[in-house]
Amino acid sequence: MRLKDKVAIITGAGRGIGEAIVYRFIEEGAKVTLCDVDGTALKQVSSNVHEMKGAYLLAMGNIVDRNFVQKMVDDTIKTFGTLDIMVNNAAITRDAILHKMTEEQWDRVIEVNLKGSFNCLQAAASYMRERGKGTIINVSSTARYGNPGQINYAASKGGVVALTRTAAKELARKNVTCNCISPGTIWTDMLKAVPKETQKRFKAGIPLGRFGDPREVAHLCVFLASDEASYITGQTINCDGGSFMA
Amino acid sequence: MRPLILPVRRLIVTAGLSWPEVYGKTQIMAVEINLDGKVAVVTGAGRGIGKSIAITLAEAGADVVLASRTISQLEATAEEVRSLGRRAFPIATDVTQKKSVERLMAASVEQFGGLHILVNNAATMAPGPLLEQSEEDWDQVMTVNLKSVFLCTQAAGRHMIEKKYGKIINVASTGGEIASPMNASYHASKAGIILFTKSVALEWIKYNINVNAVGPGFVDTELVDQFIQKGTRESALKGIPIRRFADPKEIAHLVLFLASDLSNYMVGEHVIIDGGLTIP
Repeated sequence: MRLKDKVAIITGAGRGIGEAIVYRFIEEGAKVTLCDVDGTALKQVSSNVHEMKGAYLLAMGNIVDRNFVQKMVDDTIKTFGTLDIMVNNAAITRDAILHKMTEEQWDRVIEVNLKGSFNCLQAAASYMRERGKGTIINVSSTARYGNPGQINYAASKGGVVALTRTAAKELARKNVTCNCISPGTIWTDMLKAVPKETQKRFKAGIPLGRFGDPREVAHLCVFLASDEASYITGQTINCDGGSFMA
Repeated sequence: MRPLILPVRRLIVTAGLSWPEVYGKTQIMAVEINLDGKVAVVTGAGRGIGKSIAITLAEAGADVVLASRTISQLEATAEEVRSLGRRAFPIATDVTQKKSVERLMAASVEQFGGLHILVNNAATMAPGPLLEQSEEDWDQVMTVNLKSVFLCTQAAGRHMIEKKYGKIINVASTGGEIASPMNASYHASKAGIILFTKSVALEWIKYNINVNAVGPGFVDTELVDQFIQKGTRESALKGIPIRRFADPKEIAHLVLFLASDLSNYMVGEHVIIDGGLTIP
């Protein structure tokens, strides 16, 4: 087990990639705090984790709220004794083409995806740097290269890459690494909500010829979270079936 | 959206049971990287990163074909692979010669019945002021570092395409993305490997062959020792946020991940592993 007895917080744990990361982390022996704003989804995932006999803690709330985030980090440390891995995965979309995008759509996405990630990153990093150990994994997206209809989402995900690099530079001397996963088109609820025609167009642009499975992203996350990746920091790694190849 | 709900609900199950007991009949097992039954060819396997890669792949279950110019260099690696209970086949290879490379790949198939993983690791450098570089210096670096990757990939690819399975990992370098003075040939060769990787990745993914690259920064190896004086080493350390060189084993773990089926959705990536040295 590559994450035996490691303690992790995973945001956006209720569905999609976050959910897959939860299961993979539990399978590898980690103790996990599951964070999501959606209580129903959280309950479903936690009952699966329960069945796997994993150790877990539920944190239902909004990462935009700094008090909630701090409490989640504190409670995790109180319950499990430490915090080794922070996975900033929670994100939302509010798609619209540029000239039709409302201020509300812009603000909402930037608030959750960028400020929310910052809140979690900051709270986790403050503890990890004191402790002199830890790793942070942010989840960006290949939308960061620019994606029509998603100017808010693309900007937030590009911002996450910049967060990653800066945090990596600041934290390296404290033995804390920070990396970023950049998934391509993954078969999640987010993608299932996209019109069939658009899905088809997405698929045509993937050299591998298929959508990614959330577990494939989770495999990369496990690798980056494990001690084996201790020399990797500041990197953004695409997991996208060859769509962008950076 | 409802405001946050506190306090955090606790529902803790303490894991204390041994793993198979825990999972009972459902048996959701940890996905250990398992290369049982896989055959890997590693070039430059006699020392440094290549040696570490060969041993790490063997630890995960692979049989390994070891290539190096001089066979005597490979004995120690082969010995370690065998001590892990895996088969090793050392073979003297000049990776710059087509015939020699074809012999290497054929040996993999003949000796171990297949060729699933290719790690193009062999490399050299000839640092110095550009005006003092001879044509031979340039050719030497380009041939050993870049042409070898072409020859090996092509020869191994013939087997992999036939079997519709393959994992090719090219050892590039942070030097393929970021430049330093007085090493133009090295940088050019490593940058070449990165785009070679991406082009072949696009071409061969339809055959179920994943081609990716790793980009190590400073690694504790003889090659680096050879070209870095003590004073330079200390100043190099200052430029690495993590403040240490990599252990070859750390590079090998990344290669192992890319050699496994856990990375099937990664195509044409150049994954940098440098302790933050070249964070853009």
